Amino acid sequence: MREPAVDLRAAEVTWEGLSEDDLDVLADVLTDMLRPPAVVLLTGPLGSGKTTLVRKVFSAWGVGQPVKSPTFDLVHPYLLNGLRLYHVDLYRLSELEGLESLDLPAPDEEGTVVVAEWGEPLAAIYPDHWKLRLDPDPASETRRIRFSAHGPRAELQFRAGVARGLGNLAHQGGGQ
Amino acid sequence: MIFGIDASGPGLAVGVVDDAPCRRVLADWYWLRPRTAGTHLTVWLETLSQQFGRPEALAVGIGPGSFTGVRIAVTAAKVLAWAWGIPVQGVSSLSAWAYGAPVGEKVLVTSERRGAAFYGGYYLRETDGPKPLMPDFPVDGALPAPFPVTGSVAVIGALADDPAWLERVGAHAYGLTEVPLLGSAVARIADFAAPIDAVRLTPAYLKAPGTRGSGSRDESNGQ
Amino acid sequence: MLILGIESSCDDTGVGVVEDGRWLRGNSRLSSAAMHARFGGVVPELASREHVMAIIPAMEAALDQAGVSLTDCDAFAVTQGPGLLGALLVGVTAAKALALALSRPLIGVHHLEAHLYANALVASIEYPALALVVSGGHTAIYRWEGDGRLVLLGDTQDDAAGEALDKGARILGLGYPGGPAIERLALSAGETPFRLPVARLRRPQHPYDLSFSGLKTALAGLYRQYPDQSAALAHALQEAVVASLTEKAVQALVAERLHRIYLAGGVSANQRLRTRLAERASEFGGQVYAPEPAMATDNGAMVAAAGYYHWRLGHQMGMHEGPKTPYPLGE
Repeated sequence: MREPAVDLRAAEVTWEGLSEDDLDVLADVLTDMLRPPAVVLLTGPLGSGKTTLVRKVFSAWGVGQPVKSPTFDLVHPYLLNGLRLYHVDLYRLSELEGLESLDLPAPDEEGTVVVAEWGEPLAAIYPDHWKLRLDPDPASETRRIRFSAHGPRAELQFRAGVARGLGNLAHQGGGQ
Repeated sequence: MIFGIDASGPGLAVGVVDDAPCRRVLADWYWLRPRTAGTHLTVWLETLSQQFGRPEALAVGIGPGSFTGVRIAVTAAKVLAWAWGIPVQGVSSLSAWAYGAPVGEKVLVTSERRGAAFYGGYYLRETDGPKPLMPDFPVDGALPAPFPVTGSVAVIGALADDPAWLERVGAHAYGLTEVPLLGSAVARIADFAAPIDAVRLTPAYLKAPGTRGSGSRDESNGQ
Repeated sequence: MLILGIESSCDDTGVGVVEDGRWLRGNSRLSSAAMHARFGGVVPELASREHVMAIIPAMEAALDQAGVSLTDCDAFAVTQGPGLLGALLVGVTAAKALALALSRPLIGVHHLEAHLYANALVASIEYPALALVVSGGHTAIYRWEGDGRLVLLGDTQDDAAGEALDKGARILGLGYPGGPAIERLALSAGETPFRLPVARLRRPQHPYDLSFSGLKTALAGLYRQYPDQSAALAHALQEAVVASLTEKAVQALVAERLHRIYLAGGVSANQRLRTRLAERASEFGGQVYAPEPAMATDNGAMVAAAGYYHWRLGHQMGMHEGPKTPYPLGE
């Protein structure tokens, strides 16, 4: 795993060479950076580690029960000390509408976090959001991560997160 | 005695009114909190029916609004009416909001906003209740005719505190930010002269479940 | 004890009336599957809308068939999860409204456990046993110790078995739901020269876990090469799914020193799976039990049956409870 490359103006981080274990470090960074209400749209091909990443982030947040892919149920809400965490998987919704029936939180709804696999369509509902893309490199069995903040609140959180020392956190994690 | 239910908007509402011609309000519960109907609607109905006894009729806001909220309210109302053998009637949830406007005023009700999308209802608040000036409508970006209007119009709901949208509604549009008590409003508006068969009580979604188009995802992507 | 059970976790509105968890009195199922077929999968919003309109007609039909009235019911049971949240909410709300209207107990049941109790409508369940639930959304192996006592031994790490058949049917240009279409086409093929890979997971801690996601890629590749061999390919797909399920189940049966396998879920209607599992189990002195094919898919009777055994255990659902999804079972 290399040092993450931070582009403050674009509110974007690019990070190369993360192994499956390194996803723990990424999960720590995200857990530190995201403040509810927040929406994260995950993209990346099948098997790139989206569900694994959600599992790690949710467990860092304190979800005790096993986190499984909601491919069939589409939405799994977790209630947690006044927080509502939504694990969404829109894979099966590729050709379909029906976003409104998922009963997701209103934009900026207090105390909510939405993490959506195959989540691109949700950008239309949540102008303030994060994008996170995982691109696997089959040769090295690692992946490249690119995540970016969109909208005023996400960008503010992004800069605050970087100021708190995203590089240090990543560096420490990488050295373990 | 009539119980009124609405869960189409940002909260849950249950009201109880009596049989007097003016339908006096005996109870009016409202909780401005999303997704409260799924957990609290039957609990509230249980408490109120223990207090007031089984109602003679049920009134329910059928939307438009939150698909899920409307479904919970309509399902509870129709199954209770069917099981108790009492009449049920559905009313526009937006007309219940319009009930809170000053008498004599025209009112644009706006609900369940997501960006530039929301539901609208245009009513005239007459002495005996709101009268629709046009059918409730879904908005995605632009208001339909006759907006912008020239006369005075009250705007209730999601757009009430948005100056840019008030301007689009009309030069003399003004916001009313207080949420009316929708439970009693639904119960007061409902007309039981010809109650609907519980089986046929249908939510007013105003939008098809339809398709979003676009091709299917490549199943073998990345494998 | 007469229980009315409601199932609305996916695209079927099911209502069943069952006496003492054993005797089927009435059953009605209104499905919106035909509407979803043209989309190639379940549209959640469409399913939820249909439940709202179907719930009372389904109850009327089930009560009619049972020759009883609503007030004869002693309790109400409902699928509390897992499933589509919007769809579950309709059934759960209806059940809560019934319990309120008639002041009767309300019992929430787990969808997969309800599938297993479809077996109780055939004969009383004998414990302990191995339980294999196979449907479009779930594939799991349990040790079934007693009423309400399940221990998860293994489950799918990706697609469910039924999902693999559905996706395979889509690749071969067959309709939705894909399971029955694959089975019909496979029958017409007789033998097949094709072999699809049965995933071998290297997870010593979880020896009974399954994986089906590799099948669709392999199938798509072969179909591109042999576009006129869809029947033989359907046969190969079914064989791969059946072999994977059968081998894991039999391994677990032997290791857990059990002698009964209860099969359940929509895919349990597949005749090839029933036959092959029975053959392999009998080699180790095991016997396979399965519900009537009509009771294998989502239905209200299995919910009513499961509700009875949970009611006997003193389990009840509170009026303030909503649907549960995710809803782990036996973990």
